[in-house]
Amino acid sequence: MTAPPLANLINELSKLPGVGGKSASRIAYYILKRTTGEAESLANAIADVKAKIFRCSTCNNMTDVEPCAICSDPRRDAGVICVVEEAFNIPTIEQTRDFHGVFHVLLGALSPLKGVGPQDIDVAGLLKRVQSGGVREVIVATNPNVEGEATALYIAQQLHSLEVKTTRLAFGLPVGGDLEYADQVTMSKALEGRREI
Amino acid sequence: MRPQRTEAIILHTFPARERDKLVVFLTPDHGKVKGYAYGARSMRTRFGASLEPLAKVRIGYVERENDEVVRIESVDLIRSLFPAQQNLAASVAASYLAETVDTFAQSGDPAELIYRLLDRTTEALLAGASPLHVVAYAEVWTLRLAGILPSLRNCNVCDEPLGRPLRFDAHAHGFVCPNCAPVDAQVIANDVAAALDAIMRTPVGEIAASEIAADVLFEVRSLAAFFRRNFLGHELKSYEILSGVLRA
Repeated sequence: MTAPPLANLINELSKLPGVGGKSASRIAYYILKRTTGEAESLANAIADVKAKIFRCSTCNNMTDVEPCAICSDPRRDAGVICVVEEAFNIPTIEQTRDFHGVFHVLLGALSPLKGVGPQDIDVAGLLKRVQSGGVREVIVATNPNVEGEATALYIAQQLHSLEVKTTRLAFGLPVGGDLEYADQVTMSKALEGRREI
Repeated sequence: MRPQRTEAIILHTFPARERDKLVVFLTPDHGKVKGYAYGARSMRTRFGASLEPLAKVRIGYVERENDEVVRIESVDLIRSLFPAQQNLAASVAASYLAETVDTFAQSGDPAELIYRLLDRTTEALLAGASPLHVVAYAEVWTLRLAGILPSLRNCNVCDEPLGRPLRFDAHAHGFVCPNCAPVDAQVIANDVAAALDAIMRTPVGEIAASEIAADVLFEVRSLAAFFRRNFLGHELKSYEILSGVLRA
């Protein structure tokens, strides 16, 4: 019989994405073995993130200042907006250090199978930003799958009448991959997006 | 551990754990199957585009004893719907087809007819057919294969042959003859009844090439939606989204 406080912790941990019952139990026992200070530090970090983090009113990124550090950075080019599905996609693009524009987080992707329609994602906020002027390019960086592609098509349709260049991240072969393992869709997309060297 | 290798159409995938996907696919011989594709969410996955919804594949999997979720070992892409999904209406229609079949197909039983329906309708979308025509065809035929579509030939109450115009009685859940029709029975326009007849008799390619008007097909869809809702007790998640996209 597990003691109720421990069972409660295991139950809460097992609600986390990717954490099953066994993993939750392992994490709970690991926390029990740490010092009280370390456990409190984890608990405080969780409470802190809920108390201090909110969405940037401009781009929907997660932030603790308004507007977020990216939107308020004068070195960033506000004329180029990179559209991503979720805030956690931003660090992946930031890691490249090749993108100097700003972001717009849609808070999801069109997914008819999950009942997520155009009104459930923040395309309206993006249109408002483009309509307010000064935007030269919108880079659609939604996931390279059916849902991401449908979202990109929808955004392109909505931006069509506005004078802004709309681009999509390239599809193709992953760096370090082998051609022999590429499927026909990836290969044909890679051929379609080939460039002169 | 029983290895299987079969043709299949991917219906739906869900993220699972850190890098895996739970895949729902339809096979002609074993109906709907659920399986884990390990590492499928990684950018360098060996599964590539083969697990995208409505991809037709040759799939190898291992059944585990006392576990209804199989382990997917290999997937070779036969046909991808990705080219057709460069069109928003076709893309949403594809999701709708997947949800419709996912809802009505059974696990463990042969599903050759519904497999063939999904295969042909997907093929039609790839060939550039109108998504509205393809979807109306698939909706009517899914209901027919599931045994939910009421007879278009005989009265749902007295079994007498039906003439034209067709009369629809929501209380009787079907089409009724003039003698059995209550005063509030809905008279179905002859072109809608003709479209239903054509869908029953004609392959999807011919329906897609036909000149059945959009408003007639929307009527066919709303009748199909009535029977489906009546059976399921709810509407499919993608129904409203597709209707919005098709009407735009």
